[in-house]
Amino acid sequence: MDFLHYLRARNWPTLLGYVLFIGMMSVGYYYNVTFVQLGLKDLGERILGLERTTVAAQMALLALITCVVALMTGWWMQRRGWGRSLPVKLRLAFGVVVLQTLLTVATPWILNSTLFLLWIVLTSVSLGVGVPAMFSMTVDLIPVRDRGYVAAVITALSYLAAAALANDWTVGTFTRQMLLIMPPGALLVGLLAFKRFDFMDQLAQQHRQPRFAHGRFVRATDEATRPSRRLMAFILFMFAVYFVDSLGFLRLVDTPIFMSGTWQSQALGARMFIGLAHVVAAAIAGILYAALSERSLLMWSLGIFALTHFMTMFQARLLPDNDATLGMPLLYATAVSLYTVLNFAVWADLSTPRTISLNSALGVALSGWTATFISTALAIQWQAGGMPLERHLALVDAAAMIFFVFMLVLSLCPVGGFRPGPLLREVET
Amino acid sequence: MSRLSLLFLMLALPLLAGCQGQDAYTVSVILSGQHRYDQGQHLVGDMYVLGGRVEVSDGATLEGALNMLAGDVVVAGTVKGEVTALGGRLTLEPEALVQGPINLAGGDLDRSPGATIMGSVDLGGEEVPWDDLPTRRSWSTVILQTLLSGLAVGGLAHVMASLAPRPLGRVAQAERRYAQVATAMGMLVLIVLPALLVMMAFTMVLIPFVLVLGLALLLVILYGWMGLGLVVGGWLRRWMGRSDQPAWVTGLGTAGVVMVINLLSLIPVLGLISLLAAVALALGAVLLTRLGLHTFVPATTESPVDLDSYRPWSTSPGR
Repeated sequence: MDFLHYLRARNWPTLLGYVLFIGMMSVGYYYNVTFVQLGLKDLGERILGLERTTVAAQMALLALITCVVALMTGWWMQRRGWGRSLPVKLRLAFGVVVLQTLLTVATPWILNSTLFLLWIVLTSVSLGVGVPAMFSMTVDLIPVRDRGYVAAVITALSYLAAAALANDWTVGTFTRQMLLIMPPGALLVGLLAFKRFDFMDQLAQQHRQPRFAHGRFVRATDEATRPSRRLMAFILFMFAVYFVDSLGFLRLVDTPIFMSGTWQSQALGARMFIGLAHVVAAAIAGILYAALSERSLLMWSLGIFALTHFMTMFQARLLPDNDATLGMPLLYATAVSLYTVLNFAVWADLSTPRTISLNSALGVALSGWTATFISTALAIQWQAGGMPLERHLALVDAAAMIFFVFMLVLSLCPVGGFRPGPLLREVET
Repeated sequence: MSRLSLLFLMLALPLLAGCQGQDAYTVSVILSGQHRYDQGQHLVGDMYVLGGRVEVSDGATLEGALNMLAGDVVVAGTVKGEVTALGGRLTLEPEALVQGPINLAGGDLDRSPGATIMGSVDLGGEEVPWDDLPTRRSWSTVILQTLLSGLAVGGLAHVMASLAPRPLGRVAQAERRYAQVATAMGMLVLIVLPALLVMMAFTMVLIPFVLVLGLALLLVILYGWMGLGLVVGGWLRRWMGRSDQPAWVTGLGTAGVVMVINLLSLIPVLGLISLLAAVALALGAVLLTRLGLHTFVPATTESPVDLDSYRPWSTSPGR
């Protein structure tokens, strides 16, 4: 682990880079999974009294706008060469944090559906700009060999906090929590973005070093700016994972017997169990990310998801009156942590400092947000059409199996393997 | 087997499912929906009800066992085999005739007074007398069991180190050099595998595969512990000042590993954690090396580790 090397060498600026990246990404992800995804639902349904289908449609809109804005920002950043400029990325991140803080402060004044729609559009814009700006800091702050471990720490912190702190799933609680973190965070990011510090100069130059520059799935000589086939394959499979997850989860959280096995459980013990399961699974995923090939990683992610949804289906079909056991959320948390770690690390590892902004935008937007958009829209249509739970889960299972078998077949096809370029060899020596 | 052959096999397997012959004996698995067997129908074979509703009408015969996990079964006809219910609702109409025993471990039984049951009826819920519970093992038993298990697995390791030293060496290398990765992989398998086994068992028809998989898992763990024994044997070899490592040293190391794991598992909490860690490490190392057939090299390491730097069998006269 390079972190230990820097620790022994007392290289404080680089170590500070780790802390900065982990802090920003953890808070950003926590904001996304709690305030945006769940707070929005609570605000729309409970406070504004909107129909469930209306809120779901607006969530799909949020995903769509975020996707478009992220792609535009990523493309623009690559065109201007901002992927290699840490100060510019920090300034963009500062803008995002300020806008999100203002949107959080404004939440109590969202009293009608028009303001709600405007709030959603602005939130989408902040998320869309934030994705390429923050993900592309990976090449400046985190060396290639530590990306899995760092992604694991981010995942563990976010999910543990979500499980431990979120005892009340209301937008008011999320607002109070975020307002404790965001203003000091905005101030710190603003200082780092606009004031000159020597250690920031060192951090801004780190992407020139081989340890940071080229991701593990990129050849050292690769200077192409167009998305590679490898990137497209990853996007496709991450899309599959997000799609299956989102399509299944949207229905499960509305089904009483499964709620006891999710964060929405009223029991602190159950929530802590889920939180700890996320931590253990994230640690496993972080270690395996650096050790396994990309095919194995994708196989595990898709395989565990397929299994998780099969288990859910069995529960729904065989024991429809019984609450879900904690074995199921354990498996689910493992699957989610695995793909979250992959998502935090892989886009940077498929990029160079030149391509990181567009690649991360493509990766996160096309896999994560597009999958969310399509699955939400589908779930609304199915629920509006009165599709029973069993049928819904059967379709999710079928989708999971198709993706898994496709991956299995692909893994057996004789395709030339990838060997890291000389830069990684240099890292090894 | 080449990858293409495997691919072909995978694609061919589903086709085989459609090639079943019309045998007299069948296994019926009811998952959902309503199924009715009318008067005069004669069904030979076992029936597994996992959901839905099944009605065996007066005059219909089921010549086999009836196993229920969930759903509703209404019997007005004849069941010639055993009836076992783990869940669901079993209704016996006045005309019902059950020739075998009824075992009810869960679920509900609605029995009409006119229904005839020729076998015994076990409604479950009987408490096991406290005296019948296994008592804590005495120290002499523990020591004897530890010694015997250590010697048995150590003996196996001796044979393995003599017959297949290279695969065992690869497993040992993964355990020693990449313990963190092997443990992580093992833990992932330990989280996923029980769920997979439970799900397979729930299908009833896959229960034999569950048993095979369970046995395979046990063998894989023992194999991994033999790898650990090779590592410990290496330390013993150096301690003894020998340049070679005969197979019996590996056997001795394995016996030591198994005995230590056995004894540690007696300690509350810590014992469970150490047992899990030892199982995860062994399992992960064997899987990462694909049963010892490949040298494991982490994906982010460019050059494979020089196997000669860790090849205790190369000059072993014990082979």
